[in-house]
Amino acid sequence: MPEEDDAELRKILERKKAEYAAQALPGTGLQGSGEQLVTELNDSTFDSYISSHRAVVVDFWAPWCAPCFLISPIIDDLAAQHRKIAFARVNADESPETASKYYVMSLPTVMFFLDGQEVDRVVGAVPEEVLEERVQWLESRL
Amino acid sequence: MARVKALMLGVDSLTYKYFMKCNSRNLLTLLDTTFRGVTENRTLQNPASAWLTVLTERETQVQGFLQKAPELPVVSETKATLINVPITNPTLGSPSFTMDPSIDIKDEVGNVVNAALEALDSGPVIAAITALERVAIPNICSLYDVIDSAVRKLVLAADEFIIFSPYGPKATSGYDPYGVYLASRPRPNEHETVKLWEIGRVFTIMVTRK
Repeated sequence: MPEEDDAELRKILERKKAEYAAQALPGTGLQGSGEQLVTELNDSTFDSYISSHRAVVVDFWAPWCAPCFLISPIIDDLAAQHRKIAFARVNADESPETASKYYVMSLPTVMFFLDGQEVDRVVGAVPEEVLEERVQWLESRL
Repeated sequence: MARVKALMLGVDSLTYKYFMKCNSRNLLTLLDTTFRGVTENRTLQNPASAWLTVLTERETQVQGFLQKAPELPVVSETKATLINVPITNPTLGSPSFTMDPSIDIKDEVGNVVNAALEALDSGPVIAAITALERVAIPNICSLYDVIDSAVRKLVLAADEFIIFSPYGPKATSGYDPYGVYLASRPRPNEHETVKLWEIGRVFTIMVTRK
């Protein structure tokens, strides 16, 4: 096969691969490029992350918490749509100090931070619209 | 003495992550009203190993599918009817399907539901639906719709049930380790993830009432 055909074929394959990857990862917190949109935080990284981003949405979860899994793809989708806001996730079992410091008594809990301060929180598995509305409000403050 | 209409339904690769996204009403209702948990399985990430672990109540690792099923203590103790259990290929029990994409989800689910409804009249049933890991289609919610309505029919016909997935959907490498667990009975340690061997134990207790 001539070399120029190989190059053309490579381009098509790469484009198809990129298109497929972009479609194939809904609800994973990853963009098609593999970029991580939701940052995993723990007791040692939480404070510095909150203070280094103007607006942050944090999803507190635990592996045994079934409703936590309902909202995790929603958080992933919101993170992909609202790039001015930082999105993070905290395993409350592995980060008890942070969960306790912010009085996270039920899971899932989604907290909203602006300039390092908590400005809102949503407890329980709620529909996407409820979280979307809060995220839009947070974005409007930026 | 009438035998308990107990159902163990395993839906391989079922995940809570799509319940809300796909608006799976019956599954969401069960999540809201029954005893729920999250299965966690990082090491037994193939159908045969996962199901053998459930049905033998101990961790059992195998490569691929077995030619012939060994003694399965949960089945012997409960005398359950087996339907489409992916320990062998084609699956164990009746109906039985090959583990490849050629089997249409509606054919599989329809046949499994009909067989399970009939078998529940005479006693416990252990059934599996494998479509989520066999078939890759762009609109995952259409698969969830089929499973959601199947679950409704089966749960309405059963006195006791466990709906579970031994692992989540396919991930970059292997499977997502977290799956679904919805049951009519509580289990100990509800603030811990459900281990596969526990599922067989809870089902045996359901049926034998020991």
